Amino acid sequence: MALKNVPGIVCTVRNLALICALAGAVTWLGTARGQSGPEWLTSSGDAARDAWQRSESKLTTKNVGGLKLLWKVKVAAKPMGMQSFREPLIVTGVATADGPRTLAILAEASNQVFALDAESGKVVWQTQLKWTSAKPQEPGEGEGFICTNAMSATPVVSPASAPVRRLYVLASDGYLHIMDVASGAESDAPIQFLPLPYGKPYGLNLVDNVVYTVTAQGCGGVPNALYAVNLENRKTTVSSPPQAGIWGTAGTAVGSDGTIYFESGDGDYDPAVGKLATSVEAFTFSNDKLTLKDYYTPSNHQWLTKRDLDMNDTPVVFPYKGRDVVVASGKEGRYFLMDSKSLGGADHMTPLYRSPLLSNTNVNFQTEGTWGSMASWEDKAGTRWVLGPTGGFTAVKFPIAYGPTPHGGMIALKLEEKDGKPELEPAWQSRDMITAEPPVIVNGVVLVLAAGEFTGQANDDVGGLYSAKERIQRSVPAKLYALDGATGKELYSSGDQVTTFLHQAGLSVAGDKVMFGTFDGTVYCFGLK
Amino acid sequence: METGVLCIGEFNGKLLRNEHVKRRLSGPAAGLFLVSVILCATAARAQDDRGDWSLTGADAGQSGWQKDEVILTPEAVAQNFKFLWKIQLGKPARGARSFSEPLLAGRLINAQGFKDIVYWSSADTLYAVDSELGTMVWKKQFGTLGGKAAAGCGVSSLQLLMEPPVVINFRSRRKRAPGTPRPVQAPPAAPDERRLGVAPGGGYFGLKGIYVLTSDGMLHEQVMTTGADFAPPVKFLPAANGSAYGLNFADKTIYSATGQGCGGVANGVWAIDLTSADYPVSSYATGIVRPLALTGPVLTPDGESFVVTGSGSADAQNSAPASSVVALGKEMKAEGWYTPEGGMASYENVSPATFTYKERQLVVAPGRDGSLALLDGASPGGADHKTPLFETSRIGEPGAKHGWDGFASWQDKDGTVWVFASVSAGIALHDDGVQLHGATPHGGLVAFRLGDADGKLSLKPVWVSGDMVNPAPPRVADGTVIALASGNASTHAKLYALNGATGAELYSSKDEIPTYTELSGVSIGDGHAFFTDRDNVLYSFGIGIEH
Repeated sequence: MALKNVPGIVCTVRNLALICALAGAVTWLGTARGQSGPEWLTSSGDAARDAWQRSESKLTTKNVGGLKLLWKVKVAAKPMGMQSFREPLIVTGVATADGPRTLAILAEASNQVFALDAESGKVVWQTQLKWTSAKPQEPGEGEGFICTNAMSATPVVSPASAPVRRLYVLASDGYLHIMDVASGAESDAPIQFLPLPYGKPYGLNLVDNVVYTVTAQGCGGVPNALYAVNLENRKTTVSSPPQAGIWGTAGTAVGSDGTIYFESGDGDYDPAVGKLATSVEAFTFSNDKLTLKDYYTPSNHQWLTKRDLDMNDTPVVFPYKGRDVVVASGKEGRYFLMDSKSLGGADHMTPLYRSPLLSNTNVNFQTEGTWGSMASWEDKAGTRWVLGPTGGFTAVKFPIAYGPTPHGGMIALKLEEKDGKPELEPAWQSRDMITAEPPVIVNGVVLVLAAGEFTGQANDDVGGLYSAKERIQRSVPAKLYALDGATGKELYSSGDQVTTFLHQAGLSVAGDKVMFGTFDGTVYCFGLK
Repeated sequence: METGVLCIGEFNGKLLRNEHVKRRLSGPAAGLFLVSVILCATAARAQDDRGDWSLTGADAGQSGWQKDEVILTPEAVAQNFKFLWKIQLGKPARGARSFSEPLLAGRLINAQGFKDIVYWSSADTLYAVDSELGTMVWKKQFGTLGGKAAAGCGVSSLQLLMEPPVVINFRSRRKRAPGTPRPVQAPPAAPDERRLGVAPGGGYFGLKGIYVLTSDGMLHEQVMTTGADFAPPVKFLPAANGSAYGLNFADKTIYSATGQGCGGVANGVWAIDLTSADYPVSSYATGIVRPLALTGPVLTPDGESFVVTGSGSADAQNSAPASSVVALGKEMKAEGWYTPEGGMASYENVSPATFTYKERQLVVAPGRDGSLALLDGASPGGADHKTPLFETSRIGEPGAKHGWDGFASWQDKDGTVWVFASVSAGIALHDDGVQLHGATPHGGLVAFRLGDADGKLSLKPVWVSGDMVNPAPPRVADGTVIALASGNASTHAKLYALNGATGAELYSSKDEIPTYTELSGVSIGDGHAFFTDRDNVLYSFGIGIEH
């Protein structure tokens, strides 16, 4: 087995014990930001949250039309509210009782974790995490469809170069549970991550032996903030002051220099005291201290807050002309390109580029705009792409489109320079999809889950908000699509093979396997036979 | 997919988290003519309610004061106030217009998202316009026009009203013990179970209604966010084409007035009780004397109403004293009146204003022949019905005819109480020390300061504005007075913003409004001022934000 994605390091099976052991201390830091082999170890694939599977895969634009449902397995998952599974993690070379296996690991709303054999779907292990908090465990679901008492953060697995590989799961007790990947047993004492249980954290990010998360909606009384756990000394740090909700589903994005990025939602805005609602924020972590480094606030932030058009995504970071650039978006339907050296310029309101409105002309706080997270990749010609889901009609005409999108779909933007300035130019718009999730890219193929979820909230007929039950009743089965990354052309559709919807569960790709879990506890694996 | 909006108490950092929040109870909220009366009975302020204008004149007392405004300070207005947008709302009716005033409701929610809405109605259509963007949200045509109106009656605008939001103090709510299950909330009432004026449930985002009084005398309730029928309409006025004046609201009762003898509907003040499924209607007949209550009767918080009556001979057939300020109790019986000795000036339309000062209900109304009278709401004219608490000197020339005059009241941050009067005839104020801003041959605004010398109250004139043709009743927000000079067939309307303490002009719309307005009131909310012109164009001026 070769670790192909570790710069300067080649470990073959023969010299693995010697060379990789020596390199482990270095690569433990380095590869935490990259990918290691055909694996998917964290939300959106890597620390920068670009959802670009770079490792070798047989999937191409030419053969993805032949995707097949390889297996599906229903496990005893217990959804809570709309929440069921998080994004699957895929780990290779796990030493199981049946020999080395690639495992698909799915954490589920009721603090259960399942590990399935990626080849067969066989459940290798399942673990019900033990409640660790001194606060009592509440029976059943939380109130409303937002604070559901569910586990909400996609876990993270340490990179292949780590001396010992661990699975880190932030359960609803507010503790970071540390698990052995092979057995699912808890290998170390849990670490208190959040001050209270039943918070709402999002995708864990593991960089340089520090796990990061962000929280939103003030669920459980947990302050909305950036949280960090130093795995070396087990110390937890929280940013201050508490923020507006931070609810990009992939959590934070981390740049090549370790800077942590996230978007904050509606709330009080007062930069003088550190209240940076509706902004993109950059923090550093050093000596167990989180420090605000920079921020960008859209100039119409008052409008965004007024109409509940949160900056509600996880940003994506990628290299551009020798430095990191950051792309952010949200419910409003614009995309922002920022220089990591100065996100918003001197006034914190001037990014490199602010797109026109690309979607959500209805000024709708629900359903429309771009939700969750985005993706980015660079094609062989060196063109940098940014992709994001939308929840309704687009506001501009895309050069390539496949019919009207009343329910939304995927949009693709190209990074181009005009008069020496970088811009994100609309390239293509996919076919209509019901609740498109953030995409994954592999070998120029864009894989998208149309989740089928009913995302309406306001009930115009009788008033009030739809309950989780009502939203579940109104949801339809999900569909997996494969699109040509250069044109958005549909190359594959799963049709009716998926029988229920999913809610912010996300898909993962490693090798030739495309996996995701749905609301009813069924895990699907598509691939090439 | 989650949103930052959850339920009460959980909206990210805004509006609902442990803050005072106004919850609108759906209920009757409309009137025959465009009457919107804001009733803010509760004291606590909401964090994000500054966009509401539920009733004509801001509140049931028609103070004209947007108490929750924080943007329109004189300094900010001088720098940033400007024309924002306008939108045509249907075709204008021919002939003379009736009173109309836009109503405002902020932070509503429908399937397309949060909306801040300005409502306005023509003769048969209710319009809901996004108050930030100036785009149509919905419109509802009632189709109640019909029949030939009697001479002098014309076609009236629909009258509107919303119940003001009720404030909820979340800090005073008892928290549940950990592990205690949340009380099960009853589902909202189904459409066929709903009754006009009764909240249907559904929590904070439950349906709320705007009331509409159509020309056939029926009171409707429409869902504020969609315009859909909330519940079956009920009968309010005894006949169609009664040309009702504006609406007001207090204590789950809607009030209106009629004064033109149209449709066979007698002159008087009318009240419909929304708490009973029979919707009983009571009235006070003024006989041949007209109530001059174009904007509807003004109300105290406990439902006492005041109207100014027009001229007439005091004979046995009259049930109301003429040229008087009449106080009615909740039972629709006269409880007192003030008739200035020597008579009032001639008014086509004028409504008093009432406000509370040191736990005392005060009323500002026309006095003797062009003066202003300050009255005790508990006994407007004293024992002899002729004695006000205070009477100013004459403001206009004797014998002048006034079209539509009005009042506003305001308490500044220092606690000083101000009264502003719009005068639709030439102003000739000769008091010493009054700051004048030019000759006022056509009319303008006059500002008074309430004096209190050991309980002896007075109104001292402080400033007079520049000349205004047919000024609408003034509006006040955060120290700024908004005045609409309606103009006439010869001169277009102008909107002014004046410093409330000095009368200095902060803003003039100059030639921005191409025509005149007619019996149009101004509403203020969230840094904006709204009104319509005679061509059914709705305008928004104010301090905007980037969208």
